[in-house]
Amino acid sequence: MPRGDAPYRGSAAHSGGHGVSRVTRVPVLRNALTLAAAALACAGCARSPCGLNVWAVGVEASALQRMVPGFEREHPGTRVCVANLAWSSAEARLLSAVAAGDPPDVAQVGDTDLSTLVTLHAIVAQRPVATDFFTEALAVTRFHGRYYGTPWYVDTRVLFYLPGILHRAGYRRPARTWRKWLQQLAAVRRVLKPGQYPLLAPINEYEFLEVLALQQPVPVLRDGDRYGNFASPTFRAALRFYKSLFAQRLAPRITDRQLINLWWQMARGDFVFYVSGPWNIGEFRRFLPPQDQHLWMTAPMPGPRGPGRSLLDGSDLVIFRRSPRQRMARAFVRYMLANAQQVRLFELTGDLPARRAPWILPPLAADRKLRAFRVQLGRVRPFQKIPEWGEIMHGMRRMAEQVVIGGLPVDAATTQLDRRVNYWLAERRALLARGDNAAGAHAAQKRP
Amino acid sequence: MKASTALLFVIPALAMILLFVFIPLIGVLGLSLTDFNVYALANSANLHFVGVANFTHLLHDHAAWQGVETTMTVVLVGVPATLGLSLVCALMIESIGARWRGLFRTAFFLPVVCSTVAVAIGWRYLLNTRYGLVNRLLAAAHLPTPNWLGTPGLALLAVTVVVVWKGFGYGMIIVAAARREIPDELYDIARIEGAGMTQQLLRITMPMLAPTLGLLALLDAAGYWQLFAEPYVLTQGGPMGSTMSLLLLMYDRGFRWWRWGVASALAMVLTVIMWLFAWLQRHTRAAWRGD
Amino acid sequence: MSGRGMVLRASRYAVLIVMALATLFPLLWVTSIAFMRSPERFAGTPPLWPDHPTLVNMVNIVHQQRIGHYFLNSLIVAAATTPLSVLVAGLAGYALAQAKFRGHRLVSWVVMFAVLVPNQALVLPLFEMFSAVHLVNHYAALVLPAAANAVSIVLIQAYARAIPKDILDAARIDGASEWRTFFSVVVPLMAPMLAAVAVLTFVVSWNDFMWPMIAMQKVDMQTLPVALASIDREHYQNIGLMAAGATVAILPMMLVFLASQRYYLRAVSAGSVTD
Repeated sequence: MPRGDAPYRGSAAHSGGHGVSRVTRVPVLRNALTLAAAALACAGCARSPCGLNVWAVGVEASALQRMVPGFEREHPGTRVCVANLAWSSAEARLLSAVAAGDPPDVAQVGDTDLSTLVTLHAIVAQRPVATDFFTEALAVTRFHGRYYGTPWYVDTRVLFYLPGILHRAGYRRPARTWRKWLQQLAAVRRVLKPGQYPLLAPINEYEFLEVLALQQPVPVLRDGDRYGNFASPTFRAALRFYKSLFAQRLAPRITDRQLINLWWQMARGDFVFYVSGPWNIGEFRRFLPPQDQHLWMTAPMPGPRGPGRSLLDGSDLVIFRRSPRQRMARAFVRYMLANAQQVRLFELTGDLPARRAPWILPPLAADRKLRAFRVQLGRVRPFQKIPEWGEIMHGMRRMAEQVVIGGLPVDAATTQLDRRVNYWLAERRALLARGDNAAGAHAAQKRP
Repeated sequence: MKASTALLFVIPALAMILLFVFIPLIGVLGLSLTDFNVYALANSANLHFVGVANFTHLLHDHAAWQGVETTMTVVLVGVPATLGLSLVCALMIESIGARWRGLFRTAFFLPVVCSTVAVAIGWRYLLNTRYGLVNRLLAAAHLPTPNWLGTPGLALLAVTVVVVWKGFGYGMIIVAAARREIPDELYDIARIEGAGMTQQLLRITMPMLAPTLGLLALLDAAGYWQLFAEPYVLTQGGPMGSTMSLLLLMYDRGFRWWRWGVASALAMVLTVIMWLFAWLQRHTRAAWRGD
Repeated sequence: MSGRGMVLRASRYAVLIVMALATLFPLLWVTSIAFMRSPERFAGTPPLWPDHPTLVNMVNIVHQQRIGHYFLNSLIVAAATTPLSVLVAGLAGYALAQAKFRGHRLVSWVVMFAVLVPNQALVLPLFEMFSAVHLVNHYAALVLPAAANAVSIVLIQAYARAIPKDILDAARIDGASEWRTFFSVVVPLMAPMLAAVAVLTFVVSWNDFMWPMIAMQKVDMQTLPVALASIDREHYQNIGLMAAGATVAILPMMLVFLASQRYYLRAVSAGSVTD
């Protein structure tokens, strides 16, 4: 699900001090007046008064906003403006800004979108600011042998579940294999009320199916990411498993938009399992009262045959080529990657530090609900670093929808998807054939 | 008025229309014949003329056909529904005392002026499967409670309902104005000749309103073909692409995946379909009038 | 009056009242939810009326989500678009109605053609054009295209045809220039129509969605509907907050409409005579 921001953060933000309101409120009025004047005078000559423009997404933007005063204290006279983008439109906005030649100085970019920006020559290579990044996370930012972007936080998907109901169904902990998990889900359904489901797997999210696909030995693209490989027996097996969850009515055929309030609904037992990322640790804590915190727990993903792998995602901080403030931008990135800020980010959002050192510090080391993530991060697999990845994943999701709701047979669906993916990759193949660097350099890299 | 001054008066409008309608239209046509995508954005050497390849691609693209079908369904169901509601409301409002007219007119017209995005948010909560008010009422009446926004046909129906709900007030005002233009004498004569209410409606009101209704159909259709915000907020085009209107598809391809060639081809398809329909409507109306 | 007539009359009112309530319900309900404290706690379905009305959602949407900022953006755009569009359309509509000049047919044809072009299908090249001149993220990107409104021209042209020639001639004989004639004679004569077109333009600009979403990448430049949709994508699970956002977008327009009802309705119904 696109990450939900914290609705009731308000109280915290208010007590958080005057820094926040100084940064956000006064400029609103001033900007508005400047802009109004500009609009009347010359219809758009407004200039931003910011010393550093940073674009971030969702909760991370709110967190950045609260970490910025520290940076500003270290760099007197620099005002950092943090813009808050929505996850769903962040990539489109960044790309349009690049296309329009008007990007920010620094941006938080999801791992999936990084390759597009590299392809567009929009961002500059940076030397890694630390030596203890998670290896896979740093590898994601590597293109043509250089590092574009600095891993800021990592994220993977694990099971969120309700131990109480699982116990009532006769199990002590979540299963480790698909087969056992199916049995568990079926058992859980027997103790639920009508209208409640053992699993929530919103049909407009592709990440769960992506995890199932990544757990298989054969990748979903082949020949150096030139063609789709969804018709492989292993992906078909994953899709069949996914389909059976809905066919057996273990999961409702709904989109996340049809939830009223996920955390509140889970606490009532509307759903017992949900595959999701670390930010939901924070959301559960924010939305549920303290006396309900024992209701939920996390566990690593089950796999086809034993403990399963999960996807590796996360966000990177990138610096745009067009930025005239490269030094300040680098200083900003360095600041945000320091131990204290990595821990602070975790405290504010639940985002997992991309560096290992912060993990042994108190708030992370002590958190029971983080344990599943630490275990899972030892079993992750990144996706293919090509600009088309996002489109391919959305194509996969649409195909899965056809299978789950439309009753399209798995074999026909995967063959169709391959055809579509091959069309999307046509340009890439042509470029590779011509030896173009934009698409080519990272194609040769072998996936682990 | 001197011709030169008149030209001076016309030039700003003409320039703006040329700049913001004609040139972009030519631009859409031009783009639709290229393979403009993210690689072309990085390096213009990657931009190629591909002829009608984008259009032939769309011919084999299930999503494009579905987009046409979805949009056309909203037009073909939504326009008559809107017209019907506009007509009924207008005639009923015109038949009651002037004192209350303004109140009802305002009530029916308010959705028209409200932001689509804002009202779609409200409708989404109304239509929620498990907790929405609509299903609560259905459950209380022991009727089935469908998954409105999660079932292909129903989601499209829901989108159409919102579109009609938001649009019919506009037509109501127009029809009411046209109804007032009909001379009372016509009805007096009809009454003297012994025509009943139904007779009056069919013989006088409807024929006199026909041109207005025809124009309304044209206006409504022009708006509904450009369906975008409602599905964007309510369903994001799902489930199974069943509410993916042509413009939503164009936006998705163009601004999400940066496939401007294909997206422009979709824009051309929409434009041509709209022209065809406008022409068809004009023709049928002309044919009626010719009788 | 006969009993049957009374029944007919009463049932007419009854039907109208039911329909009006059904029409208004989604709007009223959203406004009502905006004043409830955590509406999701009511076993899922918020009640019709807040039990303990609260401003907490309004405070959140204004304070945390800076809805006022986006509101101001929308206001600036609509306030800039409206006079510009009305002036451009007024000049053209009047000239087309009252003057004969070479190219009259061509201009009329261009205007009629522009009416038939789906303007939302033009966003891709429009974006390219505004990028090329670095006007993306500026109010001009929203104001200028909206000012080229062919429908307004057609509406004003239809109205201006009714201006009696002798009034214009009288002004000219007095030695007034065409510009003076336009502003001191024609504008007052067309005032109702111009006001009507102005209200229409304002509402359309205020509610525009797709192009503002594309043309304004900077969050600070977003208009209200775009910001609302974007907040919705993050916070759709926070019913109270989203209802408050919707209310902020809906209420002012309701008030503008109620205040300008007479003009607005005239503008809309003017559509019926342009055939």
